[in-house]
This record gives sequence, structure tokens and C-alpha cells, in this order.
Amino acid sequence: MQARFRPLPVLFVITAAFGMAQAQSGVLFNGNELGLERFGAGVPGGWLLDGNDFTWEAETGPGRLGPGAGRIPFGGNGRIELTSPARRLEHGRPYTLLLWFRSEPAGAALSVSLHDNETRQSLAFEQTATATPEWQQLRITRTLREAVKGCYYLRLSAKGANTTLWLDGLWLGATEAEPPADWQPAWHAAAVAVAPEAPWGVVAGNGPLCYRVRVAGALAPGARLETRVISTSGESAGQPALPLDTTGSWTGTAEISGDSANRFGMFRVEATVVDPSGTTLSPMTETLLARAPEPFPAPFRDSYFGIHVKLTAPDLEAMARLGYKWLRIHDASGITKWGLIEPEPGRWLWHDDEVALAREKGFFILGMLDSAPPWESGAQEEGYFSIYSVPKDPENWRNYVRRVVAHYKGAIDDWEVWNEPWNPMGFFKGGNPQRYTELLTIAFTETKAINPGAVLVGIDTWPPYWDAMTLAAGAYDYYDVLSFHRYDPGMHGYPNDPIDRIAKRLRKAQEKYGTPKPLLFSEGGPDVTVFHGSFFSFAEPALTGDWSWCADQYARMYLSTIASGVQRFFAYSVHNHTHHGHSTHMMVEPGPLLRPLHLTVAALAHFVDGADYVERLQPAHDISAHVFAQPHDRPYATGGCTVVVLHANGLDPEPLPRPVPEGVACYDRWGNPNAPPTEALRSPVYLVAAGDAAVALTSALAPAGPGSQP
Amino acid sequence: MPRKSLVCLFVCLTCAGAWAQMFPEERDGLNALLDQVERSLTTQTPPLWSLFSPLGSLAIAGNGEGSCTTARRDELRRNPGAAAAFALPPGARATFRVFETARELRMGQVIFESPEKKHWLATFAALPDGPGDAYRLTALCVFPADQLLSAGASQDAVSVVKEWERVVRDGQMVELRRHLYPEPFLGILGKGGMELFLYVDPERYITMARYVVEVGRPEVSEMSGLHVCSNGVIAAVTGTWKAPNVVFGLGDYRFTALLLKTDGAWKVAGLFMGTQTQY
Repeated sequence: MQARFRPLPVLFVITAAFGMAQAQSGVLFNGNELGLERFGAGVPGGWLLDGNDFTWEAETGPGRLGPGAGRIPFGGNGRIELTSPARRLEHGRPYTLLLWFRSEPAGAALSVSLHDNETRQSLAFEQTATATPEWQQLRITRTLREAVKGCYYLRLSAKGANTTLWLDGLWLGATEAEPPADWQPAWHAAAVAVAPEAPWGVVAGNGPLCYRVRVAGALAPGARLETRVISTSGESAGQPALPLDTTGSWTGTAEISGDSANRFGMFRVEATVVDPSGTTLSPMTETLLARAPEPFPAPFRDSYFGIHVKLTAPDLEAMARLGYKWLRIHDASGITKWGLIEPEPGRWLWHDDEVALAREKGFFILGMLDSAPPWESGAQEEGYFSIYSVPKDPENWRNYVRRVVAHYKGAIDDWEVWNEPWNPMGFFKGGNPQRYTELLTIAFTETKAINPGAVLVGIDTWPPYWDAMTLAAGAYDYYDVLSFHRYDPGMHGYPNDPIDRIAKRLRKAQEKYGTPKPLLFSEGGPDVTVFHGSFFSFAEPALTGDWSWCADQYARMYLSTIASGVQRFFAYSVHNHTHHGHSTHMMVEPGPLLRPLHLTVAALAHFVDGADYVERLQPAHDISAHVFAQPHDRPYATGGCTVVVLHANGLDPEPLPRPVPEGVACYDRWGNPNAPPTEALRSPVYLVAAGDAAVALTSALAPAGPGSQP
Repeated sequence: MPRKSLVCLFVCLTCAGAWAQMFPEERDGLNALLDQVERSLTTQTPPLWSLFSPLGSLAIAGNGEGSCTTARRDELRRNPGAAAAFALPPGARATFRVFETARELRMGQVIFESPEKKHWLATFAALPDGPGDAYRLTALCVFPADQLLSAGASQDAVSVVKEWERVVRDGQMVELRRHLYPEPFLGILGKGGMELFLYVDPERYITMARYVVEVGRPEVSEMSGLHVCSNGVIAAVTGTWKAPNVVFGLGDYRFTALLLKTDGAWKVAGLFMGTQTQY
């Protein structure tokens, strides 16, 4: 279809600045702000697809825009909901939304709306429509109201019963106030979607990095798929073109090739369909892949690395490949929470298959003894917090503890008593330190009676008053490990950083009552917002932050945990997948796909799990060199070795006072071999040596003499 | 500086200093840092960058001609031109110092006087992360103080800071975005729970602050004891903010805000605050 109305040229400048437009010649940019235009290939990377009772196919027959529409048969209760990644748009100017649709039989219902990414409030294009067997076009022009951060997302939902819905030609772009009634943009002939083969796109070690390709639409003879791969190490490499056929629906699998493909880190695959002359036939689409260094063998009880994730096979497989060894249940699945597993008196819901799956994958589980069903607590409120009121009857709590600990004995032998009980407004309504100590005492006594080898984790503190008052109330004798939570956006890892100070404070707090017990950092993260970084090209820094910063920050949070003598850290969380750009705890992209921060932690786990933390050396005041003794055979050394994790304490590069000696193997923050560093950076790097080289290395990193550096 | 203005500034800083609750060794440590700052500003030895913490840094120098220089530690280290903007005349000496404590942060102000009787006001924030737990600067803001605006004429800067009071009470933190200086920006919050929330990215600061206020909106948000020193381009506002919150922590906060005027609007480039609670 020929474009007779041109989108505003200024938009090209705006979108190019945010990586949405291609710069090379021969690329068609038709002003569409959305990566999803033709629906036949499926959903592009960054889009969130939810729904049930539907399938999604490519329509190869003729359609309103030619072959390539999305054909979506609904069952008896079919529903889809698509949410775009957050996009920066310009408020105060007109935008037009277009969408072709039909259903057979008639009756599928559609709704669209454009939302403020921050407030989620619908700001424009709010409309519903009912599909008929004939193609219709939703066509709305509105002047955008201001969004808090200037970013918006589009929501498109549809539902139907035993009908087939066709979708095609989704377009959102800046236009004049009212484009002519017959105006259409220059539609792309085709669509492409790429998605990883591996769960969450992650492979460990040297496995192949493969992705699936779906192409739909009208393809000229000789059309091909052009692909480029960009890595977190900064490399960018074209991939061999894939020849496509003209059937209107092409699927295939490809493997990343070239030197960079064997490196560790994240990879963004950008794919476009082009004709023989090189003119693009589809919008560029992308997905994210990851290669993690080989994790330490599981199971490994003494691991430093924990996470919150759902107990499903692909999720567990992805976490295992990244090197996480422990799972804290909490609200990632809630399988041991009283409020969820005894919905009515005496009716117990057990989750044996999920627990068995996690154990088969080599994970240890920190179970939760917490919450109370509303029928017991008397809580009146609905929703998430309805189970977080204090139990009325301690004997009911005792019965719950007995049942759950006995049921999962041997599968779950570590239990934490209550999540964030210091919060009487949220997780422990009606509670106080004395009441918590009473519940803790019961939990400890009953757990040890049933499973003497079990480990009971208690206190779960954040504000200092909480541990002080629970200890004063007599808690000390009723836990094996003291836990704390912490969300902190700082760059950790320096001496006396907040995690280190908290660990010292908690040891000191216990000293009044006996020998300080081990500490566990059972929940926390580098932030409580979306500022975890994203490797999508369209990621908006004002929403997602700097992925490189976050990659360093997350690894250093684990490193600080280890250096502070804390048993392990459970990061929160990857168990929900919201739309790209949504401010959330969830350190994951829709798909789910990874964010780079998990790969720097995978590298840290690769080098230090299984190793003993020896000491922190400071070759200069603003440099930390964490020395680990690795006794196990690992891919980087056999027969034991010394691993040093080196970083600048702050944000600035700091010159190393002495060179790294010969015979020391050096690796970057992703785990790739690297040249010996001459300065310590914000990013942790790894120095590995054995024998004399290890001695020389620790000598080179020994504290410098006074006055060598302020 | 006219005598009346100087007296007002002394009184102003002394009032702020009345909040200081500091152990003698802390005072000694800060005096040692400020001695070094004085030497650095007047003789460039030690280099100014070396007095800054690498955890996060903000340096602002007013040149007295309606403009200012901003830098972070690394730029001061690598760019001699940036460091030169902070030089004071040889022989300038600190004639007045006031300190206060805000969790791990220490904050304060200093008046420098040159042999020619010219004056500069330095506002600083410091953390004890130096060798032997010595204090190091996270922020230093120096500007000529002989032409300070009256408190009344500086209320537009104060009103920007007061926006924090309002938006926290209303739960509308994102409205602060327009008041944040894009780069360099440094926000440090010493929380009661021993975290040190440190932001170099204003977007991150505002996103986190919004979340914090959403999950634990304080019932009270009141600022008091606000003092402002401004030359029309740079403003330093100090005060106390009462905003108890389950996530922020309990207690009153002492704060120091450093503002820069750009395109006619004051924007906060540095915000340093912490509870006075000690554990």
C-alpha cells in the first residue's frame, strides 16, 4: 500500500536517538513507534504476552495487508493481552493508532489503550471494538497528554469464545492532527520474531547459542534474514544471512557464529528481513541470549548464591546455569506458607512435584514458616497481604509447623520463620517482637523435634530496633542462623560498606546473649525499582538505568556478602515478568529474558563458589583485592588455586601500585580471559594463580607503604 | 563583605551548628580534613581530588561572575583546568567552621577569608571512608560570599527544597524530577537501618524515592530551621526534615542541599541527609 501521507520527519530524529530507527541505507522507517506491526511472526522481544486458551499462527493466505497477519484461534475462554515496551513519545502532539482486525465467526472483542509508564493511568486511545468477519481498521488520532517520565506503553487485549481472530497492521506514530481518511503508512511486507532456544536464553560453558526465527508475510524471491549480534563486551558482528522462502511463513533455527560467540556475557540478536536489493521488508526485531561460565557443580550446600524464582523447569534450569544454588520460596511460589497451603481447616495443599523438581536440579530450598490463613487470623482484607496477620492461636501455628516440617523433611531442611516480621503495617500485622519470639520459639522447638538436623533461620531483621527487641524478648536460643534483609542502591564491596556494618552490628547485638550465630542475607537487592539495566537496544535509560553499572553493582553486592562473612545472599527476584520499563523488583525482561547483571554474578559464582574467603588485601586504600582459596578442580585451574577478585572501592579507576606478576591468568567481569589490569575499576575482575605465581600475586597486592596513595 | 552581612552569615551558620552532636574525635577528624581542604584550595597540595571519596563526589565552584564549575573526583584528578577553578588566593584561611552529624554523613560549612579580606563560603559533606577511617569529602561547594543575597531574596531556592516536604506528604515524588540537576548529581541518604543510599543518577534517585514513599508514606513531613546562603547562582540550604517512615527509618533528618540556577530555575545538584540516630 502506497503512503500518501508522510509521518512527521522530526520523529525520525527523535526515534533514532533512542535506537529505534536503523541508520543504514535501504532501511524503511515508516514512523511506527512499535516493533510489532505485522502479527504473523509472533511477539517481538520486549513485548509482554499473557493469555490463555489460544494459539498463534501466521496467516499465509491473502489478508488486508497481504499474507502475514496473525491468526489467533481462541478456545472456549480465549484471551490474549499484549503490552508493549515503554517508549518515549512526545506529549502535546498528535499521534495516530492503527490496527486491522477481523474474527470468524464475529464476536471477538478488542480493547486498546496507551498508558503512562509511571502511573499506569490510561492517557490515550482507550477504545473497544467487536470484530466481524470483514476486516476493520481501528483508527484513532489523539494529542498525547504528558506522562510523568515521558514514556508510554500500549496495551492491546482481545478475548473470544470459539472464534478465530486475525490481527494485522499495528501502527503508532506522530501524524498531523487528522490524517486523511484514506491515508495508510508504508506497511512492511513482512514480520520477523526471534527467540532463544535455551530457557531464558542462557547456556552455560561452551554450548551453542541458538535462536529460533519466525518470518511471516509476503517475501520476494531471494529475500533473506540479516542478523547482527552485539555483545556486552562491546563487539558487534554480522551473522551469515539466512535465505527465506516465499511461502509466507518460514521458521528456522540459527546459531550465533564468530569469535565473539564463544565469549561469556550477553548477546543481543537484531534481525531484519531484506529483499535481494537490501531494502528492509520488516521492522528490526531483537532478542537476548546469554553465555555463562560453567557453574560450580550442584548440589552445593555451602554456596554463597541464592535467588527467588518460581519452581518451574525452565526457570530452574536457567537459574542453575547461572550458578545460583539456593532458592528462598517466599512469594516466588508460596508453597510452604500457611496462609496458602491450608485454605480451610484441615485441607492441606502440598507441592511435592515442584520441590522434587528443584532438588533434582540441584537446588537447596530455604522454606518459609510464615503467614496465617485468614480463617485462622481473622484478617478481613483481600489480596496479597490477607495472609500476613499474626495467628490468633499459637497452638494452630504449632500444628502448621509440625505438618509442614514433617511433610517436607529431607526435601526442605532449612526454614526461615516469617518474612519481614519487623513490618507491623504489612507482613506482620498485629505483631510485635514478643509475639514474634513466641512464634519463633514454637517453630524452633517443633522443627528440631521432627527434624533434628534442620536449620532454623530467625529474626529476619531490617531496622535495628527489631533485632534488639526480639533478642531482648528471648529469641537468641531459638534460631540457628540470624537473617536480615537489605535493599541498597550503593556500589558495595568496599571495606566497612553497609552490608559489612550491618553484619558487625548483628554480631555485636548477639554478643550480649551468647556467641554470635551465623548470618544470612535472606532477601534484598541492588534496588527496589527497575534500575537493573537492560540490554535491549530500545531500553530507555531514564527507566531502566545503566546496565553496565547495575552489572557491577549486583556482583559486588554478593561479593560484599561473602567478604562480610555472611553465609549467602538471596536476591529478590526473578519470579514475575512485567512489561519492559515497568518499575519493579523483578530483575528480568518479559519472555523471560535475562538482564546483564545475572551474568556478572554467574562469573563471580564460577570463580568463588566452592572457595574459602581468605582476606581482603588493599594494595592502595581505594582498591580491594578479595583473596579466595579454591581447593576444587575448576575449568580455570586444577589442583587448587588462589582466586583474587579485584575492584576499585568506589566508582573511579585506581592505578595498581604494582603490576600483576607473570603466570597470573586474568579474566574480565563476565569471565572472559583478559589482559592483566593496570588499574582497578568499578567492575570486578578475576586473577587466578597457583603455586609461586599465587605467592607473587598476593605480594603484589599487599598493602602499599604509607604515603603511596591518599 | 559588609560587616552586617558577615554577622548574619555567622549567626546563620552558628544556628545551624547548634544541631551538631558530635564526639570529640569526630570533630578532630573533620578539622583534619578541613585543614587539608584549606591547604589544597590555597596551595593545590594535596591535590583536591585526593580529598574526595570515590564512592560518589560532587564539586562546585562559583567564579563570582554568575557562573560555576562542576566536577566529580575523577575529573578533578584528570583535568587540571577543572581543579584550578577551585583555587583560593594564597594565604586564605578558614575563619569559621561549623559541623553536624547525619548518620554516616558529616556536613558543615566554612568561611574562608583572604588577606585582602575577601570571603568564600564552603559547604561540604563527608564520609569516614579514608585511610584509618579518616573523613573524605563527598561534596564541596565553594563560592564567593561577599555578595550574598539576603535570605528573603533567596527564598526561591528554599522553595525548591520545600518541595521535598510537600511531595513526600502528598506521595508525589516524581514531581521532584524537574528540580533535579541532571549531571553531576549526588544524593546521599544515611538511613537509620545503616544503609547508605548513594545516587549519582537523578532518575534513579527519583524512582527509588517514589517507591519508598509509596510503600511507607510518612504521616508527617515537616521542614524546620531552614537556612540559605546564595549568591544568585549557587545556593546552599540546610535544615531539619521530620519524615518518619518505615522504609526511610525513624527520626529527624539533617540535610544539606546544594542548588544551581540554570535557565532561571534552581535545581538540586547535591542532597545530603541522614538521621541523627546512632547505633
